[in-house]
Amino acid sequence: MIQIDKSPTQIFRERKYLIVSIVSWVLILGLSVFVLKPRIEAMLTLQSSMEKKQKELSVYENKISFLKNFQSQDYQKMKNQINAILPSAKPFLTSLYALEQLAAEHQISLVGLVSAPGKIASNEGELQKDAAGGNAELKRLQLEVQLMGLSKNIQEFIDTIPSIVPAIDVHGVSFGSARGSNKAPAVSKQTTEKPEEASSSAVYQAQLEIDVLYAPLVISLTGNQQLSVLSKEEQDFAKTLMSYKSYPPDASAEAEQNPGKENPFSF
Amino acid sequence: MPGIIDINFLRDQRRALATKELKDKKIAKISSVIVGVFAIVFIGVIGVSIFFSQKEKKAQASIDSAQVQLKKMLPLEKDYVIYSKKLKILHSIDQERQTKRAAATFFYSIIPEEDELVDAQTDEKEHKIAFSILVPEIFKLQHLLDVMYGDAVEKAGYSIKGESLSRNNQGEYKVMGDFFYGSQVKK
Repeated sequence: MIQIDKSPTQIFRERKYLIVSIVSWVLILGLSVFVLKPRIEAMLTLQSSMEKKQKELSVYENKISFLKNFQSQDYQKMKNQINAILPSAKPFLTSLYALEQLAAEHQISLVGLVSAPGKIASNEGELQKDAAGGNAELKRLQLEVQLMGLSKNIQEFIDTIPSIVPAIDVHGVSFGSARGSNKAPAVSKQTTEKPEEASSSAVYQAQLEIDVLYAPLVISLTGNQQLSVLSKEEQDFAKTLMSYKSYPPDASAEAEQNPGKENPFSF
Repeated sequence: MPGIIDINFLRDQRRALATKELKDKKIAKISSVIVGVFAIVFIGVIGVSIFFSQKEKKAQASIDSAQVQLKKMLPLEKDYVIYSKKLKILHSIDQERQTKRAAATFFYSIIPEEDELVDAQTDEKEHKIAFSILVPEIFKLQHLLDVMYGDAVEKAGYSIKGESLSRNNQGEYKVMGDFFYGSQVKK
């Protein structure tokens, strides 16, 4: 066999199909390694990041729709009622007013009151300063109330206290000497289980130790926190709070009071 | 023809070349199929990756807009957080009250009719009611003590601890003690 040296052009002309095939394989290999592989990796990363983002988005969307729902009138009423029952500021005067009104409603007299209310602030910031070092969210304003009235009325008064605005906890009841009888009434509802028929017409003096509750909560938010979910039981309980009776101060009586004195001068 | 050497090597070469070309064409055909498949995969991957990238951008834009909206809703969120915290506090107070009320109702129900409860102080931390009961005479005192230390109290999940006993000028006896309820029941 005679060997003839061939020029590259001749070789290309003879093996063009093979050469084109080889070039296409090299191209496929190059594109696969340098373009396709990174693209696929990036795509997988993108897919997982997108899933995360979609989850995040759905959390935000749920939060927005939840908050929009919270704007509804029913929720706002409940919110106002809860803020009235457990105010952020120390409810000294409102609690006194409520107790007075409740006593009048039950035909008993508020004959004495002992209290050390401390600083009575009108805003949360002031109260926060006042709540020296206390981490507890719930604060108590202690009062000692002396009452005089019929045993039945005093019992009803004590029974009604837990369902008035603001929230009041009765933690001590003492009965003093009575007019018209030497017997003290049985305490109850606490006490209605054991009504004392004989003593219900006598006038008694009772001393109640009560705590008026308030919660000066200071909340700092960034907008990214998850909202705490209320259980069904808590939601049902919120509805029962609407029946708590409030005794708003009489606005007309306040308006009638002319503060200060009349200007004695003509200028 | 014997003895004649075949010198027509050009024909052999052409034949060999034709065979090679046929093989190369086969290879080229297969390669073109591979290239075609690769091109489809390549375009598909690029397309899907662009689609994902667009979708991700859209999701990010939606997140940004939701975050802006949530920032605007911060006062409302604060309202809700306070509302839920206060509601949880009130709910726990209510549960405590119910426990206390059930305990108090039971306690008052066991006091004999002739005796009088003159003082009751609740200690919520200790889960107890510190009480003072006035008994009109010594014969009634035994009845009260029987009730206080009887099985009914323990069966109901409570306990009573007597603290002191005193007698006044009218011959009445005053029994002071603690009624325990909740987790603090002393056995």
